[in-house]
Amino acid sequence: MSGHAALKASLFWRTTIRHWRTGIGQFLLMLGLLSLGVGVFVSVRLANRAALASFSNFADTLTGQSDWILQPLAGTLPASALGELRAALGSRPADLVGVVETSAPLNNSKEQNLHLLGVDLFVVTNLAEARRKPGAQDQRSFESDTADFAHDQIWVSPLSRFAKGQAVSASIGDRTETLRVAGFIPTLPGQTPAPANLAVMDLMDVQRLSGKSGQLDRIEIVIEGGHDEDAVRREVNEIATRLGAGRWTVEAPAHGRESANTMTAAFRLNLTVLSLIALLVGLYLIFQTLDGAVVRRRTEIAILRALGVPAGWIQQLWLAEAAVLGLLAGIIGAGLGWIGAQGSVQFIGRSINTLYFETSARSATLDFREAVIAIGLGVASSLFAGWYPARIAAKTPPAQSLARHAWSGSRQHLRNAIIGAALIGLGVVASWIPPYRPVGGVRFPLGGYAAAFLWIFGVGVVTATALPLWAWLVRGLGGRSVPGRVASSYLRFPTTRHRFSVAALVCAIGMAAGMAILIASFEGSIRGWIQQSLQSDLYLTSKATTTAHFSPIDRSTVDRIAADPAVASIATRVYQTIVIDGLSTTLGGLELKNPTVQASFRWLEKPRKALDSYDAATSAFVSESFSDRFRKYRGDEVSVPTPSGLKRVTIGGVYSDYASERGTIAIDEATVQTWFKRDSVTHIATILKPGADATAVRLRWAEAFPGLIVYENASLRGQILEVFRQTFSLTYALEVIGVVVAISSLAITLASVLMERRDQLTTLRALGFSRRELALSACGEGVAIAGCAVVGGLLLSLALGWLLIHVINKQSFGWTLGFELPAAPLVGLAVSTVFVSAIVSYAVGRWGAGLRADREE
Amino acid sequence: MSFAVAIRFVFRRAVAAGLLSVVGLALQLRGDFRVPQPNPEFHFPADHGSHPDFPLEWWYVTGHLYDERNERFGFQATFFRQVSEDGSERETLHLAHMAVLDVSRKNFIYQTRLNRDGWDAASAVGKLSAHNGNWSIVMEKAPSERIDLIGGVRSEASFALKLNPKKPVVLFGDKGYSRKGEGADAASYYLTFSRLETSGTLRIRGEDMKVHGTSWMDHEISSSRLGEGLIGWDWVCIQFLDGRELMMYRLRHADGSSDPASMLTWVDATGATRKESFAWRPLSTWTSVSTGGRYPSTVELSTRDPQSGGAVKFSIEPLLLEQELAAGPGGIAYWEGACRVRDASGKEIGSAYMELTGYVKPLKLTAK
Repeated sequence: MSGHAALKASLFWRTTIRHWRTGIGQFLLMLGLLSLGVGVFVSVRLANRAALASFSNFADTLTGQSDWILQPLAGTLPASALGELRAALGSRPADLVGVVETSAPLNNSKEQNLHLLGVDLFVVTNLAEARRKPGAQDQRSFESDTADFAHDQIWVSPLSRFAKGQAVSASIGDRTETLRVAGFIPTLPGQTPAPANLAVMDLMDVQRLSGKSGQLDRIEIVIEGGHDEDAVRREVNEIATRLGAGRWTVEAPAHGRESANTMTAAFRLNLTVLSLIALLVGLYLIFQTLDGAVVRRRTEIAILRALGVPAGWIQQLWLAEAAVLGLLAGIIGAGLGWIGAQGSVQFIGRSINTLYFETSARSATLDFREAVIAIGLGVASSLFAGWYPARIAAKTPPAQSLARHAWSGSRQHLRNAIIGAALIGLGVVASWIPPYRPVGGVRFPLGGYAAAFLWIFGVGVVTATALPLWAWLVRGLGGRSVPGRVASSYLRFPTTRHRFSVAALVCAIGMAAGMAILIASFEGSIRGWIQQSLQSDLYLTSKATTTAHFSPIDRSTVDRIAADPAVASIATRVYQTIVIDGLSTTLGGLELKNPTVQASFRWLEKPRKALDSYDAATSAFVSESFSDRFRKYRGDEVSVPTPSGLKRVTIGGVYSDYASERGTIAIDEATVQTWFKRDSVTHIATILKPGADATAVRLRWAEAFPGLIVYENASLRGQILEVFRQTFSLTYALEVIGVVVAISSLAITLASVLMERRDQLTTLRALGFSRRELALSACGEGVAIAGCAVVGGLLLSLALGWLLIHVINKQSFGWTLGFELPAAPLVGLAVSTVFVSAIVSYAVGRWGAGLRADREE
Repeated sequence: MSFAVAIRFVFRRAVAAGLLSVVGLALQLRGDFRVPQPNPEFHFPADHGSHPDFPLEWWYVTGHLYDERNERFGFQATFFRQVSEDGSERETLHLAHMAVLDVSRKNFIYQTRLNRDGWDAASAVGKLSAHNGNWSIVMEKAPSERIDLIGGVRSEASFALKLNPKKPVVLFGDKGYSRKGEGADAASYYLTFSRLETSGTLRIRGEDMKVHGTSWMDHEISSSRLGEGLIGWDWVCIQFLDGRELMMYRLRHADGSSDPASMLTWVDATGATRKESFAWRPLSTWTSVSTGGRYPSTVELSTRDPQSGGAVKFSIEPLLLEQELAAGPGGIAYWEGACRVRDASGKEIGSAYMELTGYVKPLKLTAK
């Protein structure tokens, strides 16, 4: 070690470390809060990653990787496409794997739905051989010890809780089936095991069970390994693309993962941004802590400078302090993040399951890269927040430092107010920026996010500038009481730490209250939507239907329900996934001439004539998300892919729909059935005869149709709201953490200023002040800071609420929401923040009242 | 003949898929299928095609190729059709094996494939036309007997060959009725093109080559019934430089002795056949690193030459020891490779393909 380095290390030890040791409680609290900030971010990041990682293609699980995936543009592919493809590929060494998938909810079990994958097991065997390196041995072991061929055999993930030979009762389509676990899906060397909810079954059996005989959900192509592999891969792509024009898309498997990635991008980004609240508040905390430390240690800084320590060294010492703090917080935060991720992955996984596709993530892992990101985040944010205090420490002349002027409370109110107003103004401009549309139909409201951050900082600055006004309020409220006057005197000339404490609380309250406004508005809109959409008494759908997959209900079942003596009328719907302009969306076949169905629409762009007068074969009505995603509006034409070719339809109207951000295009049901040559439906809504007991009918049908879920109107509404609340469940936790960190930072601020004033406190005690009076004085300061922040935070939340509803949500998901102010939660947040702040401030004040004037920091 | 390899797969329908046990299926292959009978009558080209009323059938092509630089290659292309029954259900499966030997680079590659009867694998009735994935064997329309063979090994190698029979089809056994053991139904119909002039293209290591050479094709239609106590087979087909051929199969008992149903048959230049007694003596062995199987390598075959009337001895030497098909659907390893044939003086007098089974572990071949 060079002499300078040794000297710097010595200085670091004798100054920074010594201060940490003497104020170990405060140091640990600050470290804990910063670690929490990092940990929250890391946990959301890890959970997001785990939820996405479990999205995998069949080939990823069973063969390593497919080379190409052929996805039908609409509905399913005929199994004959396999032969057609083989003929077109000629002698090229490519294995073609027809795949049928279905969801199979387990009966009498709280386990996740089984994701049943139908593949020709013989072909699977060939795949391992096709990818085998010369000289290598068999890799797969897709075996069971059963001697009989059986059509009920499934192979399950080694991660599942099933045992070999176990009988599993599951719902497939509208039937209940008993499946037998024949063995486990083999894990290829170097591959991760199949997702826990995945089960493999022979193709023909899944086709039969799911009502897709002769149909395929997709075809995966595996190019056989070897010298010519790349050339063959290219040729096969060209041939498959040419052959499938208008019928299927040819995608690399990475595209599927990318789609999963982009599909959930907005959802995950929202969570990530929310997870940054705590870290953002933590930045304020570091700033104000280091700033306070600079003030308190100014004598020491001045002495060091007087002894000849260069200003650069002083700055380096302070930056090193910030960096070490960040490093420790990063390490602890990574651990906390991993722990938090184990819980949050359940929330995120459940939401992704509900909203996008099936994911089986149960745990999240922390790898080296994520640990480095966590530590990097801790160090970078700490250095960012510590840079200004370090600069102040280095630049302030020794004489000024020794003069003990409270330069931290410099009168820059006007300048700060102007800066704050400018930030707010910039935010207004940013909110006008249209969404960034990269690929895959994703819309990122980058301008909206920029506006949010600009407003958070701007309102924080402006609110902090207004803190002296609260001095008058405190004095007024405190009457002629001494603690009130003391508190008021401090508030008239607030320190930087006071102001930053206000800004931190403004940030936390603003974001929490803003989210509360968004959620209330969202819930209000959804309530209105379901009120209008759900007019029937009982609703039936297959247990296997998920957001990503619509399972069919046989026409015979529909007929049986329609013939039930309790039923007055029924309306059926058929939903299926189609691809338009390369983006997946939902095609809904609705009974558009049914008055109940007509009444269920909430129009945003109203049809120009009665729905009955539209031509069923050429008219469509699209949801707002569809309209926004594809930029198609009333009067525009849309080409709908069907097995019988592209069908051109004209949009007659745009309706409000919160079911899916992928959007829905609604067409006459009979037309859809004709286009797709199908007779099954996916949803049934029934209106019962007057006097019929809906609950009794539901119970009777649940028994008669074990593969179907039967909802009563009220329970379906409840279910939808439950899904909605579930989606936001993690956000509540993130908001609470943000507010807790902010209030903790208030405590640290007060502790810091009390430390700074310990000689004054000694004087006040000598003048006869009791500990209680000193604590009340600190309490007054704390309440003023909290009150000031609550006002600023609530104003900020109104702006953020508007931004979230009309810009960020609208641009991300395409949903129009009505603005609703959740008065009670906001008042509760405000009161509880002030109340908790008062208690914390009082406690800190009592602690501060006991400080000795000669106590070192 | 190569029936050993064929039959073992009858017993292993979909082992990889875990659907049946080895012996379980063997018991299910009787059903109402036909069993080969003495004095058969064949009608060609129709009988080159598939016979679905028999449970097992295969077309088995092996050959020796040379490129324009006279570098030597070997290939194997086999197409099996087999039917299994499970209760009332009957399912036809198609198994195929491909192997390519690059002699100068001492490189042997192979691949196996098992498919259900259907869009990706089938064999036609009334004409020779079979395919399995991207591999196919098709005979041109009569009167031509030319056969188009397309095969390969993954993306490592591929070949497209035209096989022209230089002799009429040979009916081994008794007019094509070939005994496979003591039981009345342990038999097959055994039809062979013993000398097929071969030309076409071979692509290997990314290099396209024009090749020519000579091939051998067996077509057997079987009951799958075999004698008891057998643990494996040794089979060899020799194409002599003088225009004659020889086919030998030896059914092995556990004690190493040959079953009486074993057979050696000469094919003269006109296609006429003559059976002779023989002795089989391994001169050296080779142990597979992959499977641990200890195979005969160079083998001495002693018999009588019907042309000279005198006793003759040939040594059959593998062109490469590592010609074992150790992996793939079915899971039973065997050795099938190109060999050169020398006379007692050491002079090279022909080429051979040799098949050795049951050396990794005894094959369970009894049906009952």
